[in-house]
Amino acid sequence: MTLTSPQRRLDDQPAPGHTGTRPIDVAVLRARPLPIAPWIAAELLEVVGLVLLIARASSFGPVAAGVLHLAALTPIVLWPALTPSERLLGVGFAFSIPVAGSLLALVALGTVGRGEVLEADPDAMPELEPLRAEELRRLGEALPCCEALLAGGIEERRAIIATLTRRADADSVALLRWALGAADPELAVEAALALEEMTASFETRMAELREELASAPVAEDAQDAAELITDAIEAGIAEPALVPSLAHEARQFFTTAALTADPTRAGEVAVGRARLELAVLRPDAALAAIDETVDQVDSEARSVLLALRDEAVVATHALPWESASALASYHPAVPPPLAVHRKLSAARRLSGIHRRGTKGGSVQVGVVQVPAPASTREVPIDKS
Amino acid sequence: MTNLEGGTADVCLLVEGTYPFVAGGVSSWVHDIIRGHPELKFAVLNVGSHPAAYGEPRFQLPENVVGLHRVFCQEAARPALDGDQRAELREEIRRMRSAVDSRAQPSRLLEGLRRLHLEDDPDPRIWRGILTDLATSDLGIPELLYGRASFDLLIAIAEQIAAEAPFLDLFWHYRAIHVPVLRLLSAPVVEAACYHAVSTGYAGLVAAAWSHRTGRPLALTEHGIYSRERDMELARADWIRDAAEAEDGGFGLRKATWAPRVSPLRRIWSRFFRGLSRITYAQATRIVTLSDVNRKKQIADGAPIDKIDIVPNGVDLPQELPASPGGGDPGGDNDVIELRPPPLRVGFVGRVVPIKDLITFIRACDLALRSVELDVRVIGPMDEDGGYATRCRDLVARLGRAEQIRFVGPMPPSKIYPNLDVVVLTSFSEGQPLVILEAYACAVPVISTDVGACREMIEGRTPADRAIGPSGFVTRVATPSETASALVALTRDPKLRRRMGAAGRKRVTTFYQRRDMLAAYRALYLSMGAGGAVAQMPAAGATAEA
Repeated sequence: MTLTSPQRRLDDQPAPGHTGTRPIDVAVLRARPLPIAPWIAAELLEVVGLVLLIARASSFGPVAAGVLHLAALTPIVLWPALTPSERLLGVGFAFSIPVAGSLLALVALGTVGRGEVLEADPDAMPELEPLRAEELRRLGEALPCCEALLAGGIEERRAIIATLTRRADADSVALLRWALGAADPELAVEAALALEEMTASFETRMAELREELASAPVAEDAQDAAELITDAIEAGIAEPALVPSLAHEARQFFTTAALTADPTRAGEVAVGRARLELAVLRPDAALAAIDETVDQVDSEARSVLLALRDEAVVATHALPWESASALASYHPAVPPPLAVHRKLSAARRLSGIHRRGTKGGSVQVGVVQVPAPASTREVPIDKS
Repeated sequence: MTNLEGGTADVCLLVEGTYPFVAGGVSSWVHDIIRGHPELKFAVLNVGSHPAAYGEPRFQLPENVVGLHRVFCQEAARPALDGDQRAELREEIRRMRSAVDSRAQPSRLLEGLRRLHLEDDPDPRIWRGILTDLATSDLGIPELLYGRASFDLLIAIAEQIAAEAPFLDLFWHYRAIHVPVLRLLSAPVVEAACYHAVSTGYAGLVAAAWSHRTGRPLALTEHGIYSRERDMELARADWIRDAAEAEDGGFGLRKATWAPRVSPLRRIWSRFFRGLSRITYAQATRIVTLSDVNRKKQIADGAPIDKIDIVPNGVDLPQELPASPGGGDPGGDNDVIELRPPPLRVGFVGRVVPIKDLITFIRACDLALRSVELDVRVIGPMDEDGGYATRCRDLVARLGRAEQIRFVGPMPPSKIYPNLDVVVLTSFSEGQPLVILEAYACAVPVISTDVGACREMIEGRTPADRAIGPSGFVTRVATPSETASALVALTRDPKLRRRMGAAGRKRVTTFYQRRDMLAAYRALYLSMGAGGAVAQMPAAGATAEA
């Protein structure tokens, strides 16, 4: 196995104030020759002990063999060039497997590429498996999802709807809602059932979490519940009329999580809170939440929070009002154009969030106009 | 099996999981058909999933039911085996394995199963041939489970139509598909002058096999289209593990592929159910459907066009009409509207189950309540899916609409419709709902989703029917804003409400009377040789209406 980006690791220095354990530099460690003298010394002692045991020269033979077996550990323990982990492994092998143990330890330590302490750089993007020919063919031949929903065969359509249901993000929900208006009633029904399935799943999970939290308010559960609500609001699964009360509930869960969680998880809570406020179109509250915590979190959470802050700043200008925090926080000469893809996508990528769904609006049927549900989508956004 | 009176039945009705153990539209229809033909003797065969799935009958069997028979797709769950019993079972399996491959001639039933899976030609002659093979019932369950020939069929299915499916999954699905077929085909025949299946699927298969063996005619009535309903269930079935599900995870690229693959296991089940439908279509003497929409679907699924008749559901018209929803004469055209004081009385009539999508109804009412005053009642049993009923109640409570939206439980129709101004259906799936016809009979307009025959029931099927005018609104499924808009329109425009109610009344009077439905079925039964002396007697429904 090849270590990923060893150069980067050698160059990186711990951030100021970083209190974590410094990672073992496997590449450097592997570059030095493994000392073999202690293993040979240990093996010689073991062999002498074995000879004494087999020869049965005196009644002290077994005792002497045992003493020599223990003595064989000495060169491994005391040899200065060995690292603590190598010593531990060598002693373990030599003690538990008489005669052959030290040789096996030598083989194990001399084998490069297995059992590395750090196998991969967790920050690096995983290497993607290349697409197979059959997948490439399907990608090449397949219609875009929305067209396939309308024009594809019934099985293809069902496969697409099943995939959208599993994804359950804002794009998928928007596509399923679009399919509700399809001319084919069967497609509309299948899309409706998929949406219902998502909603039921959200409500069931939410009910479970509420019950768990009522009996024992645990930080992890509170965080899960708050993020579940945030995800549902972002995806457009939550009942629009209940969004205000759900958001209130999620804020309380975030507060519980912040109070009871390990302080090192403050970043998670802050990111979640900011996402929630953005999802319910309260960028001012998002800014306040971010500004409160951005200096107290680790660098990873900080980068996400800063990206979310950019989004919140942009969002304050998209709304038909200007709150106090918006006025206080950011006043560019010209508001950024909102028709372009917003910068928030970077933050969303980092936090594993997808773009939000479609906007709402009032509904016109015949001559009667019904107000749209009190959703997060009804605020008109000026895209001029 | 319960033989209530003995004697050969004129008609054997074959139902799947419904009458008399489950309440609902199909069960009510079966009950009505039996009561509407007191001169005929009926036997009922209920095809169930397993013995523990059903409770006590929900209907009291009429006098003319001479036998109630039950067969199950699966046997009752066995208790856990102890060590000795396990050893015995292993020995028994070993014995069966050594005995099953001693057959001199290949099994015709197995050949039928092979063709059922691998044939894709809708030609009825092919499906009659498959039925002929299946009806031999010359294969035991041990041979299916442990026989070499059966395993060869499994291999053929794997290679030809399920190459992408995990073989172990396919193995268990193969057993799950075929064991019920063998159990049902080996059920003893119920003697009757003719057979009437109330769906395709398993009930249709049994009916077709019995019709084939006895040479007696078979009629098929499909309320919904069975194979399509199963397809919708299969698409969401979590007991089928897709290969795609195994690949998905995290932010893997495969999850984002905009070319999802079709699940081979779901496809096998889907083809199987479609095959059962084609077998029933092929064997049926007559195929009855409720609406033009369903007729087209049946034809697309392989039903011979010349066999299909449309016999819509029907209701009895009340002798006296209740007060008009908008006041004044419901059938008349006068423009004098006596406004009922608000609120508008809105009813949801049906079982509180997910397929009725009560959630959308509640959301629609909540939306409409922001503009107009409504008094909303949910009328129907709530015990079938307790979890869903709780979810609906919770939603009403969370919306703060507990005073305006009330759950009143089941009520007799005579007490429902006279106290409603509009009936709303938000179902995901319907055949030809009786609720709409019952509402029309009382001149109550209807707002319904565009499912099953609802559109043609509201807007009209034939030119003459369409000339009557719309008797309500058709909305998209799961779109509460449209339902709410229609509610607001009917609330604010009593004249429109009255006009639509009158159109409904006229529509049901002209096209959906119970006596007409019973007369059509009576003629059908007579044409199939049921009740030799019956030809001289008028049908009960006709008598009542006369």
